Amino acid sequence: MTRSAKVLRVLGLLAWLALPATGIAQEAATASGAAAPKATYSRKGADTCIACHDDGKTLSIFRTPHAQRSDERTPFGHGNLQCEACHGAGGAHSARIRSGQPRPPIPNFDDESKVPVGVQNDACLACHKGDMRHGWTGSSHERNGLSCAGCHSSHATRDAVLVQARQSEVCYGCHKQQQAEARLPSAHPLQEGKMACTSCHDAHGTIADANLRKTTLNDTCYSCHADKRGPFLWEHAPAAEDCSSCHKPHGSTQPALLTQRAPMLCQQCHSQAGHPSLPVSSSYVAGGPASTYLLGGSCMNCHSQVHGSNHPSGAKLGR
Amino acid sequence: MSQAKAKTLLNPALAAASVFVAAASAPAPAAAPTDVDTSQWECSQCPFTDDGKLASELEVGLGRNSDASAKFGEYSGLDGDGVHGIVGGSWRQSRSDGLAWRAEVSDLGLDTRSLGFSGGRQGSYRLSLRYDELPHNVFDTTATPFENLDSPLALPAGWLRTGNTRTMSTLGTASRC
Repeated sequence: MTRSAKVLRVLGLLAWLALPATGIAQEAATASGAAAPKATYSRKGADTCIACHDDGKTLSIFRTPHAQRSDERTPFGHGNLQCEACHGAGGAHSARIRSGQPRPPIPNFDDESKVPVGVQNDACLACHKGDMRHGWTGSSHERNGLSCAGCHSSHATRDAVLVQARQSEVCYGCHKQQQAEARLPSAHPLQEGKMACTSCHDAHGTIADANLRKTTLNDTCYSCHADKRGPFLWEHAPAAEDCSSCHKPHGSTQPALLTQRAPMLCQQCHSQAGHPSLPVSSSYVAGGPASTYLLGGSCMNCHSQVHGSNHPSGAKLGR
Repeated sequence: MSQAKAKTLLNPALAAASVFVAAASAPAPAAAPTDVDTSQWECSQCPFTDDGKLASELEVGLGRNSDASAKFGEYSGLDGDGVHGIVGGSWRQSRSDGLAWRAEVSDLGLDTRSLGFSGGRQGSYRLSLRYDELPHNVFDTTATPFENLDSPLALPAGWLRTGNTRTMSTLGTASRC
């Protein structure tokens, strides 16, 4: 090899290394192991795309924050790549083709996309890498191969997952058990649109179990149920330790989302003989008349402050 | 049991309004390759809606409940019987300089009514106001045979102890709201 040929090869290598990543198509090709072709962009940007893709679902992106011309961070900001900012270079896809020749595909973002999920997500995360996505890497959704587009509809005028009243429909697409539990007689007001799954969970990942927004389950519950937080002079230990000792989070057939109905729930721990909730004489044996104190609120007839009491005489959580 | 209604709004404080001003979440700018000539990308066919026109939706509904039910109306506001009128709507406007606002109301006429407003300049600031009511109905037709409800609880004289409420012959006459 001559010296000039070597210099040309080195310059060529340097030039190749200096090329910026020019879109998702190139990344996808690299991820699949194929040689990345040089990406070429369309001649007229979005005008090229709209010439064919003029359906309402596609064009609704112009009613979203992604299409804010005055915001230079958005795909449609001045000088940005418009449709091709996310979908990648569309030069080959929009070029003339011979009759019968298949049109080169352009990456799309949905469950049927042939673009690897990681590459799809990288296109979103290239811009959306703020504090809300800190927990994404290694999160349960990321590890299970969920794509951003699996939940988000970037073209929709109002992304359903960002609307409180409609968000649960998106989550229920996968979380069927939680959907069923939310229909039980005692449940949080998800059906009524007064809560969203993200009231308690952060789908982008957190350091807590079940992607809870707060560090612990109790802290998450206290976000709304602040009156149960305390501190109390007389604490009910299981209430302070774990709300799920007595309550189910998504729904229950018992009142107040309890795991069981009182007194059975309370008697899992409290079973001292002689207490009115247990037989105290031969006339109260099994099959006989139950204690009338178990009517109505059962144990809570007397122990009404079951989450804790600040009354000086509230040791039994009765006041 | 008495049919007298004892509707309980456990937490009227849930009807809360919140105000906050926060910087909009700021994604990094979309990086455009420097070797792409976008000077001809006029987006002349793009149907932008930031032209300052007001877009609005209005919904009016009418419904009727055959019976009152606290549980049916929990969180939904439909606890009373009779005819309910429901009004909702949304209004939004955005300009090419990034200023935009949106207002919406829902369930006007019910205890679940909510009103919301958000506006600001994309990428700079956002102001949100929201008022939301959440009725939590525990019961409305409950009754008890207990006397001295403050403490200690006591049953009326002559109370007949039996194994279940069906055979408590004095339960009906002793119960009160």
